[in-house]
Amino acid sequence: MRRNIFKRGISLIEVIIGVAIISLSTIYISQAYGGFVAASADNVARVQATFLLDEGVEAVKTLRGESWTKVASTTVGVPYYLIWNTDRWAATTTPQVTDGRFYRTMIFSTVNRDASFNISTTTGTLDNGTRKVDLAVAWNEKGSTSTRSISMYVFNIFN
Amino acid sequence: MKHIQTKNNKAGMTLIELVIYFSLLAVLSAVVVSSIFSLFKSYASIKVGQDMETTAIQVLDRMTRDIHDADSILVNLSSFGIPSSYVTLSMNSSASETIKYYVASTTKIAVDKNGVYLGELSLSTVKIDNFLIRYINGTSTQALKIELGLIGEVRNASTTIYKNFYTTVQLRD
Repeated sequence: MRRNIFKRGISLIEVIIGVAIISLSTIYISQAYGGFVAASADNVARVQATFLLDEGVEAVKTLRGESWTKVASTTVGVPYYLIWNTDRWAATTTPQVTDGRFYRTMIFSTVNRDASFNISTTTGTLDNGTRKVDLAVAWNEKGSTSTRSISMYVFNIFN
Repeated sequence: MKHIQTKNNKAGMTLIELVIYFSLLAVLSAVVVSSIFSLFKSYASIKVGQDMETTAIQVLDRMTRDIHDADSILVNLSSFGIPSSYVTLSMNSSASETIKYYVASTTKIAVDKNGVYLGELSLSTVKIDNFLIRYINGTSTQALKIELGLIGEVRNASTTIYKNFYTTVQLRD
């Protein structure tokens, strides 16, 4: 009789432990899978951000195409945003958000040239016909900020 | 007496065991079934996301390439600023080669070459919400601002995803 009780007790504990192991692992696996899904679902945002970045590069060129002053008159080091102004792009310091999520900034900086007219970050004289533009698209992804960025030089080729 | 007691004891334990076991089994099966359902659901939403990305990349990358290469924009054969815009590009004015991008049967982006239907760029699982092209006619440069709004329907979840893709492309010629 003692042996019987002992035997039955073990089988109940076994069931509880077994069920606990299986259900915990199922929960963990499905949680991990949920994480992978979230990561891959937000890939659309990365594609959207990349296109916005491409657009930024081309929009800076359309600003240059309108007049070099639009590029050259920007304050160095201050983030600018692209704003659609009826039929053209314009730069503004007022933050602009696309689709309620994406912030696209452009930071202009001056460029120096050395004696052989190569771009120099340390020495040289200021070249007013060249600007460096650092473009970035930032968006919120599950509470943290993701960023895509690109840098370009823009030259005064029309005036 | 001893024999009866043992029997009673045995029966009680088995019943409790069964109740506990079946309730645990029910809880466990509920967890497993719901996670299997969520696997199917998330597969469907990933698939829709991928189809939307593929469509956006196919449409916008091809348009970008063609606009960069184009000789000019044939404004009289284009319609700008409306949700189903279309644009006709002159690819080689001496050979009068043209490429037209437009919304076909309200659900897909299609391409015509020299006025002849060439094919679709969007996947059949994705619908077009918005294909808005704006013409930037600047002093030194011309560009097109393209807005592509896509609708993806997630199967088995009856949810619809809307995503917008934006780009601007300048003519290089």
